[in-house]
Amino acid sequence: MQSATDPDLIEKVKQGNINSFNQLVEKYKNDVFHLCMKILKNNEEAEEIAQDVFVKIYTDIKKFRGESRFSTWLFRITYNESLSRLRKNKKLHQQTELKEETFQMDYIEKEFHKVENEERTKIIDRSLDELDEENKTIILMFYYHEKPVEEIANIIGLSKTNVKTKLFRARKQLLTYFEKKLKVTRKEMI
Amino acid sequence: MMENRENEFLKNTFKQYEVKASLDADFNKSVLNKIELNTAKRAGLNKYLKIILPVLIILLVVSFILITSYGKQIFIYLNELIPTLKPWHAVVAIILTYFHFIRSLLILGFLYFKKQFNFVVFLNPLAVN
Repeated sequence: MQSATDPDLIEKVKQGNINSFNQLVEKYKNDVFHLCMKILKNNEEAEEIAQDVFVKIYTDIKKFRGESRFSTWLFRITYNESLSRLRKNKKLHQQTELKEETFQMDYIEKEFHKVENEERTKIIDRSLDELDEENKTIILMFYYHEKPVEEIANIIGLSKTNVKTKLFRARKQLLTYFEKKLKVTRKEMI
Repeated sequence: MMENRENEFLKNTFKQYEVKASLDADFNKSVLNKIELNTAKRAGLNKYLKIILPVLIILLVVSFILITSYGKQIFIYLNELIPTLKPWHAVVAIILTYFHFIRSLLILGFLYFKKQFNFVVFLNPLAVN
């Protein structure tokens, strides 16, 4: 059986179909929780916010006119809800300015192939944690969810040019952290 | 060139990135419970507001008419009961009463439009009045 598309499901949810809403939750819950988790760094809080996001989606679904993708709207709500919880907790990440982004691409590429899949995920996770909330979201949206810059700009609430600049900086930072983490991992292995 | 290489590397790397979400098994159920609670809360709020808002508005209008028409007589009557009562006491009392009335109306109106209901916030201005 072919699974229903987002617009079909949304239309049914608008008519009050709980089953379709459940399908939407099932489809996106991991991604929503993951973004919350990356921003909040607390399992319980992330789960609570993820639930609130879906409650908001259900309550406001009639306001969604389909001008953007459903996932863009969903991630924008997730990002905003997580940030407002973070502001409430006053735990906004203070980004440490990197003086110079010096990393060796050859080294990163070579070493990354040597580490196991699980270890690779850990390195990515740890490196992402070093970025501030905005950059982290930009990186995740661009490289993991493969969203175009325009959609990311919509999610974060920035201009396209601004997102491009931030993406450039965030990429350099992430690669610098990759190199650092890889060096630590290699040392641990030896 | 370098930028392309970095981009390609990150795109490939994130393809192998596994999102591990340790979500509660009852996640969907909890979401539905929250929705149910919200709906019930909103229905309760609307029921209360439909009664309270008109009552408050009527009280505000009636008290305004009373004070503007019979304010002086009321003050004279109260002054007989409490001889130490000064005119400025009455002025302060009127200002405070209206301040709280208007505040109540504003809070209730805000809650009505926000479709949220908080019983503590709701009771507080009424208790002052």
